[in-house]
Amino acid sequence: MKENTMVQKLHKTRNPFKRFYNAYISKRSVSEIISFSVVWLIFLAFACSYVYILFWGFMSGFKTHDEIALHPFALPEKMQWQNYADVFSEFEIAGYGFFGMLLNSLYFSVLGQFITCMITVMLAYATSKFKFFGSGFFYYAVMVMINLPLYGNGGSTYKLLYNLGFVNSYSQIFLAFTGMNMNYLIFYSAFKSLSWTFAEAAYIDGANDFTVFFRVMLPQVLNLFGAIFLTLWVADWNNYSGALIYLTKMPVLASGIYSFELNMTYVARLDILYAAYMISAIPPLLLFAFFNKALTSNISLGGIKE
Amino acid sequence: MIAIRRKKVNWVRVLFLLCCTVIPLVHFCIFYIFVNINSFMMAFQQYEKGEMFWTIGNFTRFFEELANADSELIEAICNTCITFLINQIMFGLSILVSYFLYKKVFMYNVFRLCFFLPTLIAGTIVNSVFTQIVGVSGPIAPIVQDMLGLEFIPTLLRDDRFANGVVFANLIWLTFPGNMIILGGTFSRVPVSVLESGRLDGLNWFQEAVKVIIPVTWPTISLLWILSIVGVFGASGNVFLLTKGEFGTQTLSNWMYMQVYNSAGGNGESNALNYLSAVGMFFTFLSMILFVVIRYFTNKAYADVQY
Repeated sequence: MKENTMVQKLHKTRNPFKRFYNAYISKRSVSEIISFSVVWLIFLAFACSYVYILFWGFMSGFKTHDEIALHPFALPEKMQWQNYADVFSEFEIAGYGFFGMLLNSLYFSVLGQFITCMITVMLAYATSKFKFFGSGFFYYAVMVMINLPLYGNGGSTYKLLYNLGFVNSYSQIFLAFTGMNMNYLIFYSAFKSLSWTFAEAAYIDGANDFTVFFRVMLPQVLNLFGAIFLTLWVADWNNYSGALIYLTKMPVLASGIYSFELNMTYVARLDILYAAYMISAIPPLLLFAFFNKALTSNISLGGIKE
Repeated sequence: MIAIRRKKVNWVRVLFLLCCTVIPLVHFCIFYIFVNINSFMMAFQQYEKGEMFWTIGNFTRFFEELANADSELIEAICNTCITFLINQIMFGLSILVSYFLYKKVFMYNVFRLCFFLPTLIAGTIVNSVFTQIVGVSGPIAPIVQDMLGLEFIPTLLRDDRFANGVVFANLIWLTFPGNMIILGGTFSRVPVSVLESGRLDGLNWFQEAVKVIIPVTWPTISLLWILSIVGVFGASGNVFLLTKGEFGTQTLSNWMYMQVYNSAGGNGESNALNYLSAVGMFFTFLSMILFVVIRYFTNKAYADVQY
């Protein structure tokens, strides 16, 4: 008993060196310590390089245009706070200011991806928990879609969207009304492993299928739903490629800032460009700061051997 | 008379199932089935003076380009294959990265946060900074100048000799963390009892990775690996943002994107898009063969997968 208390004390010591020793050295062999140290150094190098992107971007946002052009890696001589204010007044693409592009981004990335997530989770629930005519079709169709990529259909997609009037239109959000994607498999797996007992109890209490789904089953996969929604949102927030083709006259932030950079030949304002880049990076960074555990620990795909 | 009792239809359930399935089914029919059938037909279409006619001209042009060693498509195919090989190596490396994070290497939480940054920050920002780093004012170009004894500081992304290497370096730099989320999530599901029994048997970290973690999580690893293989013709680095496919850096994926990008603003009736469909059809056909072959050899791996 006394020995156990001593061990606990040793592990809970406040001395950082002892804590480090207990956690990383005492339990490992010499060869393990060497291998882990080498890996640690490599990880550190990559981590620093990724952090440097952020640092460089924020610092550039505080420099003048000339400073960025002539000495891109020097620190700002004087912090140009005005750059960040100028983003809101001088930044304009296709008649859209910063806030206009921000609204477009929110509309397509937040609302669009929420719709995608909701449709996907409902489809996965229906096909994993109920047997009905065609219920197996969705699973196999998704398997074929992800295993067999079809190339060169970009032209056909553009033609269709043009004919439907979806190009440069808010109605393009209909593209988000999809449920047959990789995330379907993740939700499908999650629902398959969920017990049906809670649903049965709810049915006995008189609940209908809508109530069972929204009040009993969906809450059980809410963490996963949140993680997938956030991942999709971040990806779509930063996606410029689709918007450069389909939303040329109503840019979202990612494509708008990129277009601003392309137009630099006419108006050279690197200071505003980097300030805008950094402002647009704030929402995903904040989101990650608050929800990083949800993002990194809830998603898994495939199985493990028993 | 035998009374036939029909099972009562649960209309609420029918309505619920319709709500769950109709929208994705309609979307699938329009944006997958119709789009791909139309793409197939576009491969046999061309426009002349606004009139559409049926032809195999797109395929003739494609095979002529394939026969020409200096064509952009041959360059794109070569670069795509190199990118694919790099992706395969990085895939193996990403398993190790996820494994060491799972093994809680010192500061693993900080590394996990940092490794997520390239995903969080827009590719446009990351590549803008990268362009500055490899630019004339950056630290790398003068090193290359010294190493090769060049008279001028090279503009690495605007020089045929270096551009491809820089694009590949960018790819390696940004894909280092790999499938951290999915692999990390899967590793964390490995039963502790399995790891403890391995430890009691005296396994070191490498043996634990090779003999316990990878075999136990093989269904997930094989699934991700197979997905990366069948996507071979879509393999591409940040070619669009770094060089737009110029200076010998073109890839198939970027070439296809550029065809649509250059046609944006029109009504979609363009020979470039028809040609794109023909090229796409050829590579889809190749990937179908690849899929069947891989499916044949990895049937066992697939059988183990539990979604």
